[in-house]
Amino acid sequence: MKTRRQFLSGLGRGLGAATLLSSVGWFPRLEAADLSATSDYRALVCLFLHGGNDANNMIVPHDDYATYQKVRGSALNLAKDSLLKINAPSQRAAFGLHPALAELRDLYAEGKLAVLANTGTLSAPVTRAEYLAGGERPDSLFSHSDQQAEWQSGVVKRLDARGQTGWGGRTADALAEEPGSGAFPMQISASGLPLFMTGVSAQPLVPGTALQGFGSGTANQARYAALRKILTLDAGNELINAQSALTASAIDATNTLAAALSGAPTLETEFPNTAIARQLKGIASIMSVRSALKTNRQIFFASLGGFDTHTAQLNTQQNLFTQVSRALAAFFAATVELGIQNSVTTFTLSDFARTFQPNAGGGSDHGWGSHHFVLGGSVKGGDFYGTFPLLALGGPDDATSEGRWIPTTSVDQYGATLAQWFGLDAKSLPSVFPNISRFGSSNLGFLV
Amino acid sequence: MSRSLEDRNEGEVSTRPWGRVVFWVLLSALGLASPGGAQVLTEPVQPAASRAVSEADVIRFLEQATFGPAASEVSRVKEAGFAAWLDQQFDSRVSSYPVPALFPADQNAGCPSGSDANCLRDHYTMYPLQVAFFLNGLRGEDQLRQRVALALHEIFVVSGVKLRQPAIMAPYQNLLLDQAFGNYRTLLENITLNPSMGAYLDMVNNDAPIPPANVSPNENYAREILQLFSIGVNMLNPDGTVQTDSQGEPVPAYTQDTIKAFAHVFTGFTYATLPGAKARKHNPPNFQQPMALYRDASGRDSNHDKGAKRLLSYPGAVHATLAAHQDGNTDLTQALDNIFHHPNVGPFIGKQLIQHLVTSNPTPAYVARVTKAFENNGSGVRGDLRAVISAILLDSEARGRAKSSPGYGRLREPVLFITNLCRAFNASSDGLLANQAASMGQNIMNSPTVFNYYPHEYEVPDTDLEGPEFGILTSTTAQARINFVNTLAFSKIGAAASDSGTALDLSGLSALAGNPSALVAELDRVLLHGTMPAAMTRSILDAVNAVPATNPLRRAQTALYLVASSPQYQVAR
Repeated sequence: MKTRRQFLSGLGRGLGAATLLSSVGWFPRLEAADLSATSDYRALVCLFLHGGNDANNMIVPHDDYATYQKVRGSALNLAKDSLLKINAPSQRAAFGLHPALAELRDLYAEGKLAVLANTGTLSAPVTRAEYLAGGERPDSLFSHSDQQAEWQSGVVKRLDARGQTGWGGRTADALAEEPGSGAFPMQISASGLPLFMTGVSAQPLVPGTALQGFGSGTANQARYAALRKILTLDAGNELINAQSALTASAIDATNTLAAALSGAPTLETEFPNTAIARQLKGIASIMSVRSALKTNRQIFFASLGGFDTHTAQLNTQQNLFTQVSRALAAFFAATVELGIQNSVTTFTLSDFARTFQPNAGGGSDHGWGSHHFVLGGSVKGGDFYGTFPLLALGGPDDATSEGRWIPTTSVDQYGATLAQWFGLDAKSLPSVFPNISRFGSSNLGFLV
Repeated sequence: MSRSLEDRNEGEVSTRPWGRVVFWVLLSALGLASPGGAQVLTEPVQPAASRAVSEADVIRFLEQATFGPAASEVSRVKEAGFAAWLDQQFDSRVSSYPVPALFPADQNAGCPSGSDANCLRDHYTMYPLQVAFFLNGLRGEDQLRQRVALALHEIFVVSGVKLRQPAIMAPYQNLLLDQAFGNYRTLLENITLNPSMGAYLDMVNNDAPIPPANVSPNENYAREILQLFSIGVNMLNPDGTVQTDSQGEPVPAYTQDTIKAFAHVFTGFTYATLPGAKARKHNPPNFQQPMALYRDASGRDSNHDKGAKRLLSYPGAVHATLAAHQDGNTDLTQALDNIFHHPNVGPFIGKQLIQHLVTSNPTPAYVARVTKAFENNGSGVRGDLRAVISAILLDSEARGRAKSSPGYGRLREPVLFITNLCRAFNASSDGLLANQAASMGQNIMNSPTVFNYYPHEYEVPDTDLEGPEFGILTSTTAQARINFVNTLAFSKIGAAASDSGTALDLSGLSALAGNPSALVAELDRVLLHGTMPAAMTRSILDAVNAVPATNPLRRAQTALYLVASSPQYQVAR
């Protein structure tokens, strides 16, 4: 299958890049039709936990704690009385959140936070027996870069061209073609250029620096005009043209955002002074000027690194979970302050979970299926979705003998549930999640 | 007119072959494909050194082989020719990093209250190495060594984010400088046993599993030495393209079981025993000497796993299995030989070195020529990095007309963007440039992960091209790059009133300002080796002529700003 993206880039090569530059901006439709109604505003916020979060210590069985304790041993065991107990009606069992997740426990109790159990990259549902016999599997399991890419693209085969874009980006592409979509970039990243945000025709805005050094005066104006003119030239070189397009769009979108933010209300909600909280605070600020930006659909990306806990896991995770819990709680409070808590859904992704069995360094190695959080006023929280794995080494849910859980829910199903809430219609689902038909349900039901 | 699409198709089979082939067919059908499309725009292979060298190509060569073409270096290459210059550089004396004393892990103990104001900065941040990095890059005579070491630094990554102390980071960076022109096999072993790498990827103090304790050996180093430092995840052809099976699926180069086996190989090593100390299973840190296999009082390597191990399997595999009960050092040697002789190493490492030095999208034929040099340096030696570097820089695709192909070139990474401009205009500098690079997305010595500052397989959106450095080109960093040029051209980096900082010498450009055409032509010669499009020249002249002739410096600054900030300059080709 040939993608639209290839077609467009091919046209650029065949007809001259000037055509490409004028027809496909780096950001979508900067001059799109005016949009007055932002009343049905919706936003997705992806929080990526870089490095592979050990969800085995994020959500611990409370009823069957002994099974957990026996395998995790002294190296990775969380004391039972330190766990923050929660009930999971769908699993008919009690669990414990990591002790650093106090704010998230409260949100769970209030029904704003849901847990998605044992979710991961899959090419099709697969059992342990099938897996061990060489059956269906994603490419390059257990590799950071490949698994990050598969989580973010929703494409688990390396040679599939659709994997050049992310499911966030493709969702934006699909909705950008609808009347009334925003003029401003739909995708905004507070943390780099994730594949998740990359669409066929659109790249995320990464807010931050604006162009400096242009005062008033004829010479400055002439220099600015020359700078802009040079960015429109067809250099006969695709890398140069790509940088030109990106830079020109960056300058325009940054100016638009700066103008909107100049009228932003002051957020009363206090955020912690951590990198992840600053990212989320910036996102809340941009949400607060959605009307000025004339946008009713936004996809945001934030991330926190350090989850690759091959050693010293207990201390590292305590620190990281504390940051995550406090930052997410502040962010949710900010959406309440802005009156958009029902319009914003925040969710976690990560490379993979980690081996249930500890390794020699007081840490754990790369796993597969993992648990995730979904947070927001439209989340049917206070429960688990999917199926919690049987925590047995070499058991039916283990791909190996160290506790690398074979996912029972796919990234495709997780993403499709979010994307449909965001506004993607059912008939467009396969264009965003090409494998969705291989899995039982395209809506896991965790959103209203 | 253009590098052929067919050629490009082959070039990127490694990522997405089918769509492109289909597309080529479609274009042909529409009559949009160039009739000359099948022709490859490279000259016949011939020893580049035997040809007269043009100044334009000397400048290009130095953009590939150094931290930037300084006028003095341009003269040297013109005089010596490419190959002789390479030989001089291969024998150059190393400009190394200072190695400060190791401080306590707890910075409150290392820099208690009342310490020198710069205690934390100098001992618990990468600051001293960042300064040395820029000073070596700007002034070192060992330009090729510095440049190749930067490429190695970005392939065999360790990072200050985890290591924290310059005392831990510096010996590793010096190792890369020392061995930049050595043999890959030696480099691989020295990296493996280097305690900085040991601490970064957890090979140090990795224990053999001892029943009944339910722990497995740490897999971190085992995985990354295969995935990042040697062969990559899939089987490659010698031209760097991915091998596929009958279903069109890539052929994995190893499985999880292979990773486990290597994790068992890498057990039992700890920091070298400090002088006068008793050897322990987990020795205290020692970053001055290679890690060593722990031996107990009876001489047994009792923390090394003694099981048999199934390693990489490939045609003609060396040590595909390790026998049980071998000594840990024997296991290690044989395991590294097993990796070293894997057919992927040449194309996997060779292609990345091409991307770091010359162009982001080498043709498969170029990769194959470099693989050949890796496999045999002409004297039957495998892994000779001198031969590999010569093959990369003297190749017809590095030197020839391929530069005009639409997919040619690479975005200058921030540190090189900075140093190239500084060296082009004989900058004075105190080396305090790391914040500038960081604002452009490259915090030198502090790579966010072992996957480098930017991903080596990043694909440029809306193209079918790889462009690793585009992985950190965001709407913010794109503007930060232009703002850096603004500061450098119109002012200086650092406090304006002080003698320190980084400032260009624009006297030569100012002297040309009375003749704007000559001014722009000079910038075209020095920065773009004569490739400036006419429309760009016209735009710059308009801006220059808007500055009164009575202000020659301002004219020079304006012209420099527009050339240096242009994508035509930022993408080196």
